[in-house]
Amino acid sequence: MAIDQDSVLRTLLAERSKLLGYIASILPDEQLAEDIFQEVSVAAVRKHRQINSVTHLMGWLRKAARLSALEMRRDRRMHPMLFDTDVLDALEEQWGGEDEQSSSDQMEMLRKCLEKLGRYPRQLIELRYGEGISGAVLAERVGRKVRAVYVALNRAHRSLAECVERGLRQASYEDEKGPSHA
Amino acid sequence: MPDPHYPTPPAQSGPFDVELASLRYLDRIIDAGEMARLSAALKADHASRVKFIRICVSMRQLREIFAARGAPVRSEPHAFEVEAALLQLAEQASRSGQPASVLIQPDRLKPRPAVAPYRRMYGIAAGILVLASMAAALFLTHGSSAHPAGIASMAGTLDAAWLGPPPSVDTPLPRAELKLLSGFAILHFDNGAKVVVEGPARFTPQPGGIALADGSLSALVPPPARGFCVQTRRATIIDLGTEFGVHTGDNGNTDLEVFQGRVSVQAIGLAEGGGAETVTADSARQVTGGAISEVPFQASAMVRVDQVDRWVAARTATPFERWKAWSERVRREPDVIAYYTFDPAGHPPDRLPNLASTGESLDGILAGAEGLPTWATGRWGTKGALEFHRGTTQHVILAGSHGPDRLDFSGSETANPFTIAVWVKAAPSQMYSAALVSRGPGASEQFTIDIFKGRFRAFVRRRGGYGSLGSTAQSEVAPSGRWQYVVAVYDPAHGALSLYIDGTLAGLAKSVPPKLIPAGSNVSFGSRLAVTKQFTDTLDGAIDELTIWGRALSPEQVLENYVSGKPE
Repeated sequence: MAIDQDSVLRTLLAERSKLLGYIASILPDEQLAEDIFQEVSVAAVRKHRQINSVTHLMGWLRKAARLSALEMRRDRRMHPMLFDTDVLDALEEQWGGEDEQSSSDQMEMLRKCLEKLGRYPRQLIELRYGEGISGAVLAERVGRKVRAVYVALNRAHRSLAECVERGLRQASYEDEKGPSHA
Repeated sequence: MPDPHYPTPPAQSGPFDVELASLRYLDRIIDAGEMARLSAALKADHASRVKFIRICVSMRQLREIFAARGAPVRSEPHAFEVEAALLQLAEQASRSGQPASVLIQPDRLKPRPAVAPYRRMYGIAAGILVLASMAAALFLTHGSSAHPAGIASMAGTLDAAWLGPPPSVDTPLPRAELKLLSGFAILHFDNGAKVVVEGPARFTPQPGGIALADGSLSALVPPPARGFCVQTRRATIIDLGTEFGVHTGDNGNTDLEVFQGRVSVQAIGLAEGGGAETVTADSARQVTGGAISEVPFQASAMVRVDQVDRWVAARTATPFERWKAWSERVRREPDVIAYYTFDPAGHPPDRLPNLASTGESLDGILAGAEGLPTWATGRWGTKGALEFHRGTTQHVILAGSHGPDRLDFSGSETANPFTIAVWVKAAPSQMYSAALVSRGPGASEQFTIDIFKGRFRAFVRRRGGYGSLGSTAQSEVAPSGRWQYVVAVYDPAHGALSLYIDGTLAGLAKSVPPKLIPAGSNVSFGSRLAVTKQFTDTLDGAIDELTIWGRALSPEQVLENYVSGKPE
């Protein structure tokens, strides 16, 4: 049975970050990734009758995005450092496994974890992803070397990932345990 | 067979951080060696794939979170409006000869508490009471000099992009939220306060102040505008005669940097009368969730009003004035190792003074067996240049650059980055090896910018690389006989040697040696040492400015410098 257009749109909205992350893994260019996302989103809405479930939709979106990204990076010879297709193939299975994770839960937990982050790492994360400042400019802003800024950003990402994982595990444990009784 | 111009990076040893490499891949600054290791790890190892994907998704999620900014500025009548009305009332009292205390009782003077959104039920009423106290306090402090709160007008913008229709310059701003996506907006308040807002930011001008929903601003407040107020979601900042900067993020947390004078800051949510702090010059505070904490002062964290004024002025000036403003700025940059404007006045005719902070140790000496290079006119009639002639040995040599010095970029372990920028006017007919800047005798130059086969080129040689090119950035751009801006950027951290002509990337070596050959002789301009240690390959043309930075400039910086120096 075909999936309806509403479900396609809801999935696209909910899984936007994941799909954009997937496209970035093939073509790390924010603007091009957005272009590809829009292109495949329109195509998915048009082709909804050929798609029979959300899992099918996610697989279809990734396939379409990969083709589009590979085509685009052939057209634009501006990215010398890109993964070969055998690396992309190795990653594919793992991306499929990501579909089992709820993006909205992850986002919510990430929001909470950001609040707990220390001032300096949070400032770096805000400047990099909130204001879109490049690593090199960021390094100048905070008066550190580019490498040091990336090491700090990496630490911040790691802390956030650990916090999200811990929070989701805790939430899942509480769900299983049921409401507590005083 | 490996391409000698793009040597395979040496194998790296030590632990490999997949997450760090993933970040660098996604930001497109990964080098070839790191890329090879990351690819191998992702093919071989499940845990690496999990980490990589986690970084990909997390980066996107963070962008989405920050894109969905926080709650808008509250929509109820703003505190400033009430405050302005009270200040006007106080002024009326002053004009009528009545003391302010007749209108506003001194026993109600209390520090101004914050009007938090959760106090909506009695916000306006409580606000009036509290702000009456504030207004009285201000009036009693300044007596009849209390200035009526003013409204702002847009005095100018710099590279500003707006969400929605851009406000007109020199017209009063509406009391509505403005969304500045990027660039700077310069606001002048009627009471004399000047504010620079740096995008992205959302702000609402108010009489006597500004509400900042998110973003950064700096305020320069003259004495008549004392009491100028910046309101964020977590803090109320009141000027006590000063210059200060404020940044607030999407969560409302607020950073305050005081450049001059004093500022009062109060966290919204603190009990009335408690928690107001006076912050003095060269100190900073952060306000988070009702608490004020001291944080390190970072003078450069926020742009200053006078800085933006200067940048704007330079934009509208003549090209020569624009270049002069840039030239004054660049010679103060700590990363500028050597800087020459090639002006003949004020120094011996055989000397080229170094205007960077490194001083005369890197002054150039004019030399040549057939006579010295000749002083000529540069990009503008009022600016000098040095002319070199093909077939001679004319050159400028940096006498103080022999042996290890700040212009030796070979480094102890890995090479140091550098940028060399030169304004040159070279004859189109010139074909081979005409040196603009070079260090080291032929076949063992550490770096060179020259004209090779009629095209601009830059190259560096790796350590132990006698006789072979380490990395070459060869352009397809020929000398035009007009002034051209040639810039070589050696960036070992990112594995690149880039050559820019007139602000545009014209040549790129994708993989560069991490170690450079040690400096074997002095730096020279206009000619270079051959293997025979004789100066040959002299430029047929003129140089009128040369700058050497001890860091790799970004493409945007190169372009900005070009725009600041182009003759028309």
